[in-house]
Amino acid sequence: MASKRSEDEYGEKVNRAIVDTGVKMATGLVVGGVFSLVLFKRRTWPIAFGVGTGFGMGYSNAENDFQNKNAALLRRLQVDIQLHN
Amino acid sequence: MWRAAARGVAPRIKSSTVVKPLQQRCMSSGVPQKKGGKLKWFILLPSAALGGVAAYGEFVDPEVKKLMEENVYSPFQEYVYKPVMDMIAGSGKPAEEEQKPLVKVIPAKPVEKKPEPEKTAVKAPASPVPAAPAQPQPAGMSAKEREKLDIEQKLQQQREKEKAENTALESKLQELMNVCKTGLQEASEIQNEVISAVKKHAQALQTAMDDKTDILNKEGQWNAVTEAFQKRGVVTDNAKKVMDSLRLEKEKLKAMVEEARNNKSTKSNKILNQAQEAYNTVSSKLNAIESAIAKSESENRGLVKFNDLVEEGKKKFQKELESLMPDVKPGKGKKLSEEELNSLIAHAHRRIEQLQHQLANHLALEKERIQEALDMQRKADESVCDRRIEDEAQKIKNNVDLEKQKWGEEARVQFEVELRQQLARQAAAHSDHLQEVLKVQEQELLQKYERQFNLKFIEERQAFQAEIAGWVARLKGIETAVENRAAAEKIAREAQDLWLACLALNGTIRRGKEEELAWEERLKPLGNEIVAVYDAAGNHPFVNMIVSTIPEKAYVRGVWTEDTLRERFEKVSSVCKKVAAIDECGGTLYKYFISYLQSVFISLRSYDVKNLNDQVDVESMDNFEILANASYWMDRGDFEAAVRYMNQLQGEARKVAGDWLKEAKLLLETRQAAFALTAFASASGLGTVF
Repeated sequence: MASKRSEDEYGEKVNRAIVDTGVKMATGLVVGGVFSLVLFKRRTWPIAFGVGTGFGMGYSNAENDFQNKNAALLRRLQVDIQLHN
Repeated sequence: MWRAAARGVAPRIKSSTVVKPLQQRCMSSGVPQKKGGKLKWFILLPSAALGGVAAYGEFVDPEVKKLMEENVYSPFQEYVYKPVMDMIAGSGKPAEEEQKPLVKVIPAKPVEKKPEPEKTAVKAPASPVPAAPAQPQPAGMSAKEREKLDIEQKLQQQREKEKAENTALESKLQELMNVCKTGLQEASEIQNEVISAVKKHAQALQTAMDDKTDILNKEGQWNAVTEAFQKRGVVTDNAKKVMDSLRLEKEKLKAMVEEARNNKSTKSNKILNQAQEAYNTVSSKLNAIESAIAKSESENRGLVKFNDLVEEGKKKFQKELESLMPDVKPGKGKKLSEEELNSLIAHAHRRIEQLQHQLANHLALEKERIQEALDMQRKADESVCDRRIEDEAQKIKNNVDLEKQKWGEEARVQFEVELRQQLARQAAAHSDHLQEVLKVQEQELLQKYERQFNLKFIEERQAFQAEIAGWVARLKGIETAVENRAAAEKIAREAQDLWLACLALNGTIRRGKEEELAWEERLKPLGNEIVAVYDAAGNHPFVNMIVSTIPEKAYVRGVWTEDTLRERFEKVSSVCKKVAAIDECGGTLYKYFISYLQSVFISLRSYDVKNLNDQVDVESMDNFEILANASYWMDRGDFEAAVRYMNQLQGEARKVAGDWLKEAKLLLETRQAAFALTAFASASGLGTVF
């Protein structure tokens, strides 16, 4: 963590997300390609699948990164309490 | 050349290498050598050397001059210069001085017989005399001192003269006395001789005349008598001579004594008394001798007279005999004729008759004759007696004179002593009296003085004390003033210190570490400055409190400077803008994307910015408005307002600006504290200035 500044976190998150996604996509591509080559008689869909899977994973990761689930939970509970009261 | 020589050809030699004959060599130098010219160098060179050394010593090196003075100048002066000067100047005064004492001494005591002791006696006193005046008078003596010296010299000369005269006199008198003594001895001897001679003569005569026994030896006896007479004559002459000389000496002595008595300088010489005594003895003895001789002579005169008479008678008888019988010569062996014998007898009878007649006459006149003789003898005795009396009188007179002299001297001495005693007594009495009077006066004066002194002293003391009191008061005033001033200055100094420390703190807060580039590295821990402030304040409670409010992070890690925060704010603001729509739960990527899109389309400048003094409803402002305000105020330089607004962010923006806010808050806190301290320092400083 080069910078511990809070304002940089967003940027870093974004970077991570992009990188992560890219990597996953690349990996998916590769795996898909491999699968395509190996298993699926050179069809394109495993590659797309792989890329898609990769992207999906990356997106998912990014989202988790960006979200703050504890705070959400706290908010829901507060709302619930409020509602209860 | 050698080759040429080897070849057998005459070598070509340079003309300069040819050896010239001696004469030519000398001539070539131009000056022929002269043999006698060395003498002038013997004189010139040493004198030139001396002159050079003297000049060197004069102008360059005083040490050399000293050396020269010691070794060259002073011996020259002593042995050459001074004697010459003395010779030239010495023929003046000192020679005169030398002449005078000599001239005076010599005619005062003329002595013919013994010139040598005189000369030696004169030489001795003359030699110290010319030494005195011929002494070189030291230069530089004042006139007074010179006078004194002259007088002293003259006195000394006089004293020496007197001494010389006295010694000369003494020696002369001594000589004379010795001479007189020896003469006296001689005289006494001669007297004895004379007396013995006279006696002998008388005896011889007596025997010659009366002795009838030895008729045959009459001639011999008469010869003896003549011998004795001659001897007596000789001795008497001798005696006379001696006595005359002695008398002369005695007279000389007397004259000398008289003169010495008259001469002031030798009046009181003791030897005069001795000389006088000697003279007295000599004269008395001489007189005694003379009288003895006269006495013996007179004693024997009668006998001589008798002898003469007898001789006369005999001669008469013989003449008569001769007249009667002219051709008869007695003593011849011829026999006398009868006639002659008869005539002789007749003559003899006639003579006898005549003689008897004469005898009868004489017997008749015997008494008268005897009386006459007695008278004569008495007269002679009287004369002798007179003479003796005279002698005795003279002797007594001399003795008396001597005694008188002696008494006079004794009396004088005693008188002197008594006078001295009396004078001493008087002086003692006088001194005692003086002492007493002085003591009394001293007491009086002391009392007076003490009184006056005390009065003055008290006066002075009072005045002094008053002055001192004044000064002490002033001094005290000055002291208090100075102390106050010192205290004030101390406070001022402390305030200054505090102010400086606060300034330093402020400076550090404002600048941080200036040389670093990265924002994080600009942080400078404020620990030192704060400690400095704390120390400079002493133990002031206000300062203590304020210092305690400064957060620990500022001490340890330091504080972001406003500039850096401002710079950082840009990024913060932009990021916040991007996530402005997201709340703290975070959000899906979609939300983030939408927020981003929103931020793209919104410009912060489009918002109306609220004034600082307005009341702000924070709830109603959304992040964008907040951000707009904050950035507006940040741009205007109001950091605090910006921070205030930033603090109102919500959700994700808040999280994003969290760090920045923290730092900003830290900075503000610290700055607030620093400002408070500075204000306090200024206040206290200002207090002391006025």
